[in-house]
Amino acid sequence: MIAAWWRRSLLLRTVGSIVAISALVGGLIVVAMSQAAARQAEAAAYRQLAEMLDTVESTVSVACFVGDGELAMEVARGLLSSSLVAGVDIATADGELVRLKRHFDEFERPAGERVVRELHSPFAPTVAVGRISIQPAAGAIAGQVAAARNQIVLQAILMIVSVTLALTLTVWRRVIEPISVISRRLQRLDPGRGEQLAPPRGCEQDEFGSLTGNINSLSSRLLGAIEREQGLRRQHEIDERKYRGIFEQAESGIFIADAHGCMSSYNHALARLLGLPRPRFDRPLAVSLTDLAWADAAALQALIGRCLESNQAVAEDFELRRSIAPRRWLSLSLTPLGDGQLQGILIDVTERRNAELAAQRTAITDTLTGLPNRQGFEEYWSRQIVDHPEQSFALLMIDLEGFKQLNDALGFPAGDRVLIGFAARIFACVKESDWTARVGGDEFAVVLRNISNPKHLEGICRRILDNLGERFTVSGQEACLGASIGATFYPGDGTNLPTLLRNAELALNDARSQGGRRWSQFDQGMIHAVERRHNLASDLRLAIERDELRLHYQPIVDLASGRVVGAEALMRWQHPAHGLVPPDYFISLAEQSGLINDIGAWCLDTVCAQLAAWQADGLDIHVTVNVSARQIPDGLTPAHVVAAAARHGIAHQRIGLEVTEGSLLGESAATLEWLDSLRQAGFRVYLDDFGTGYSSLAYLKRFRVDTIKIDRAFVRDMGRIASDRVMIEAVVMMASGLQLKVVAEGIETAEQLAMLRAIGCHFGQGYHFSRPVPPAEFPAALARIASLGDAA
Amino acid sequence: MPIRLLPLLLMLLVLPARAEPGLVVVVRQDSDIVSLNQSQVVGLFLGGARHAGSHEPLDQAVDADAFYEALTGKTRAQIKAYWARLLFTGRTRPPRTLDSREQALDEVLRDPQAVAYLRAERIDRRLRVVFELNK
Repeated sequence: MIAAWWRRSLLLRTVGSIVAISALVGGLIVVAMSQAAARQAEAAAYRQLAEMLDTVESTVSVACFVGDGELAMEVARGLLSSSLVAGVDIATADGELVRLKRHFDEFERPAGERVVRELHSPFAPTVAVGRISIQPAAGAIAGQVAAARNQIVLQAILMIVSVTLALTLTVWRRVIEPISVISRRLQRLDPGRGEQLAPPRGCEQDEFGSLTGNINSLSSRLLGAIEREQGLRRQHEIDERKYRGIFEQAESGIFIADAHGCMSSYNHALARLLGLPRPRFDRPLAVSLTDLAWADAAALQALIGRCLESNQAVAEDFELRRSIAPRRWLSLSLTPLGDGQLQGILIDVTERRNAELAAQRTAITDTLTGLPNRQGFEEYWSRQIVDHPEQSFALLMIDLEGFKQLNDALGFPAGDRVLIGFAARIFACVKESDWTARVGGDEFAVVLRNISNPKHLEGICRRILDNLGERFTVSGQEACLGASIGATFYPGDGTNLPTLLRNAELALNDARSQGGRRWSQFDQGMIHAVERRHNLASDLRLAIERDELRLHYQPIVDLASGRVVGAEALMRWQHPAHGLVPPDYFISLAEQSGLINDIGAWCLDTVCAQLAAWQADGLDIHVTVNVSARQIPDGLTPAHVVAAAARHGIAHQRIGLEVTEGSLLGESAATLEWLDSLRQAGFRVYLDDFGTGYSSLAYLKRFRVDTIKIDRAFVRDMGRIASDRVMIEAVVMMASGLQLKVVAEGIETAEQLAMLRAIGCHFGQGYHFSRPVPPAEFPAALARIASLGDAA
Repeated sequence: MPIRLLPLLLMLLVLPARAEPGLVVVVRQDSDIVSLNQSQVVGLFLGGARHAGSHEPLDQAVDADAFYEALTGKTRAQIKAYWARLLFTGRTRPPRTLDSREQALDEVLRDPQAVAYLRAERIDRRLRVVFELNK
């Protein structure tokens, strides 16, 4: 109770402190002062005794000098009248003069030191005449001391009490009272109504005045802060309502989650997207994002980790597999909020994803056949090789022969149908685990898994070739296309896809170069062949300059008369290292490298020169020159031909230009124009190798030529195969109808010659008459042919 | 005390030049006193019976002032005050005072116990100088 009062009352504590300090300090002062006072009082008593002695000294010394006891007694009595004196002894040098003592009562016992004074002669200060000693009255001195001490103590106490009172009153008046006034006013103060705290009266200028001023300014600052706070809170509430509206009504799923994916809140859209219960804000949620049926929950957890670690926004698509609903793709964007919290936005991107997948699939799929295209093939198998380098497989490259011609002849829709059919045929030949792709217009790639032995390959390749070689009907027409296959092995032939593709292409080229309808397996020699070919192409470039090219001439004979009417110029290349290079080989090389134009020009010029020479010799024949498809129409322009003929003074009709069916199938309008220009200029045009390509009578109508050369294959077999003979008959009959001449190539026997004569074929050439011979040997050949005719 | 003594000594040194011929303490030729020092002279003239014993010091009115002045350094008034204190009890009396130098001389010549002071020129063979002042 008192302790509480003590704690609560500043006045009591202050006064208590003042009293305590005053009592302590005052007590010490009183003790010290009373000691001093006692000493002073005692000293004063003794000083008084000394003064008394001073007073009587001269008298006593006189008394002693003259030994006057009466006088001394008088002095002693006088001294004894002082209460301080208890006894007086006066003695001369001769003996005691006076000894006087007071009658002591109880309290005045003699005590203390005697006060002694030596006495000297009144006339000679150096001569001692006696001594007087006083016995002090101790009781009287003690009384004086006590009185002095009491007075001091009383004074001190009075002073302390009065100071304490004064301090207390001052503190009460100057401190406690203003504080309680301020406190009461503060209790009643309502700063909200703009009230100000008034300072206590009389305190306007002092610290209380500035205190109330400070309180007022504090309260106004607090009021300002509260108003700002209220404003912010209002704004916050508005924002909250606004954002809650956005949050609630957003189409995107929005949520807040922690590092474990545990969502502390989410919106309706998210609940809809993920099939979660409707969010409730009055109850904490305990749904973890990672517990949902994600296809790859680990990746989601990793994304959360990445977001928190990098403290940056991240986004990724995830597939959600809900039991009944179709699979959904959701795009998840995470933004770190700090403190291990994440804000996430979830958007359904299934449609975009599907579209992307479709586009992706389209990009790698051949739309016609539904097979993967080249890109798809390469992407897949590049990855396969990287992912499973230990596997083994065989890569087949399949090329359809003559598809381009078929496409040109029958149109793209028919060609497309043929391709679909062929894709199906290939597909039927391989196992389901094998891989088929369309890697070019008429090229397919097949990967046969787990095949490392060429022996196993044989059966499959044969089956494919047989299947593809079967006849089929398209656009009401029966057709047949062959195929070639190039094969290579992984990992035996190469360990990366580009190498394997190149290998397969090389093997394919090999198969094609061997006449097609067959398969070739890659070997390292093919690479060498390619290199050789490449080197040969370089050499060919030089061959013209070095004059290594030669023209041989094979006579063309009028079958009816047996007379030589012309010759076909055939090119030969005498390579300084490799010897004679076959024309099939280096012509194709020239075609590929573009040298064919130079070679063609050289050829025409040489032929014209030869013709001029023969003309001079009186040999009146025509010469045909082979024109490559590459030279039509710009490689060997009609103007060029005219110029060459003019240069050597050769009549146009003596020059024949042999073109293949294939040459005419290309760009029809330009080719047609080329043909017409030459024919109008008087040059003869020969259709070479008739019957080997996709020969169509329609061509003969569209492309006007002068002469048809029947391919040697028909002539070779005409003795054994009836159909070939029938074909030749038909061609000859048709040609006659169209006013065309016919040349049969490859006549090797007299029987063939007889048959062709019987059929009515106009001209012929072949080993039966003469092999192609250099110009120097040409007259001899003519002579021999003349002798043949004579023999017949 | 020495500081107070110094001017007195100085005064003693200059006095003979100005003063009249010196005073001497004399007794009759046959007295038992042969010689006296200053302290004995003081005791004889100022110490009463206790010092004088059987001898009788005599004052004479003419030279008393000079005598006491020379002997004790005190004025006549101070000497009178001294005697006044002793007279209070009546136990000690001052020396008998003669009116002239002649009476003093006569008294000394008459009484062998008498001791007096006289001017030095008045001394004759009947008298004995026992103490000379102003030496």
